[in-house]
Amino acid sequence: MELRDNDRLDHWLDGALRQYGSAEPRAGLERRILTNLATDRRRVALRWRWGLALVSTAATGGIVVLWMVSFLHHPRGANKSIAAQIPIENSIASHTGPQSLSTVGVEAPVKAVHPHTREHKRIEQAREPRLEKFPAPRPLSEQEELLMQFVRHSPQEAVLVAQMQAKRQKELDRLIADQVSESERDQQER
Amino acid sequence: MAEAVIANGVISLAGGREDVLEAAVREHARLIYRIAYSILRNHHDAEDATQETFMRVLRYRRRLEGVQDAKTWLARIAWRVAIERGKKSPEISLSEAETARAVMKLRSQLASAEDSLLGEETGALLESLIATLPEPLRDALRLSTVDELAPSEIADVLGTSESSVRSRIFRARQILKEKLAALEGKYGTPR
Repeated sequence: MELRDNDRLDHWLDGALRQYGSAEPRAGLERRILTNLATDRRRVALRWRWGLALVSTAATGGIVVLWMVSFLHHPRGANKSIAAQIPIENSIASHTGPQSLSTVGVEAPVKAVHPHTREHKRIEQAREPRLEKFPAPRPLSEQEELLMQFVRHSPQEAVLVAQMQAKRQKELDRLIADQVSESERDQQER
Repeated sequence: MAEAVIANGVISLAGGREDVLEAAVREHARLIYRIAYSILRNHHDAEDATQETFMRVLRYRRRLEGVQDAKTWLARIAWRVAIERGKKSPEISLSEAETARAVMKLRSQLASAEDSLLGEETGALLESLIATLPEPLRDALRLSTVDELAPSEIADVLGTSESSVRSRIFRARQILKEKLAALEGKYGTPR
């Protein structure tokens, strides 16, 4: 390649590279960019707002659920003793029974009790109205009625009969015991 | 206020981050576009890259506080965005016939000794030749075609020294001239 050609090529390359990098954007590029940026900013702000709303809703929901759960476990007036909710008559009548509560009239804090536990069942049973006697009295039979009439009309004779019966029962018991001890002795000797 | 601060080359948040960003868009959008275009060679892609560059700036706008030279900082972001996008687009390659036609055009332009417009064919030829350059030379040459960037700023964008940039551009031009001369010898003579 001649020197003159080299100069021409250099000159051409200068111009070509100048044109190569002289691209002009379409009109309104800045406006389009700013619009996009504003849209994106709004989108981000909206996303934040929605996020906050969701979080606060979830928190509120959680609090409501917790409150409801605690309310179900500690109904209104739960700070009073369970015995206090049971009518006093029933409490007094039943204080000798196996399920009696010794805290009649005493304010005592009640712990949260999980359903389906023994404790829960015990409290539920305690809430039920109590019978005056345990077990419940059943109606007398015909023979028992006759016996009651006899006792009412002649109590002294009834006492004597009862004493004689008791004496006879004791003799019978002694005889049976003697027989049992004799048979045991025989077995040991054999 | 923010625009004045940007013009001094230092970003200050005195006018608020949004104002600073808006000022940066107004001041540097064209530069960003040209950097993107120098790599992507497509108006649509270059505009998308420009948008993406400013989106990244919006995302990391808190970092604006520490930026000393807004122009170079933005140019570096635009460069990275365009390089990432450029990897997805296919490389240009000319057929034998297209190359022959382009060289004929180039020959006639050289003979006229006038500044003529870079036509579609000669432009494609130059683009294909630049694409064959080694990457460091190619990057320096492409950025040197952006008028707004001085060699020192190109050096900042590429993370090298100014003398290295000048040397790369010189070598790139030498290679291009050699290739063009070879092509002229091959296709330039009328058959």
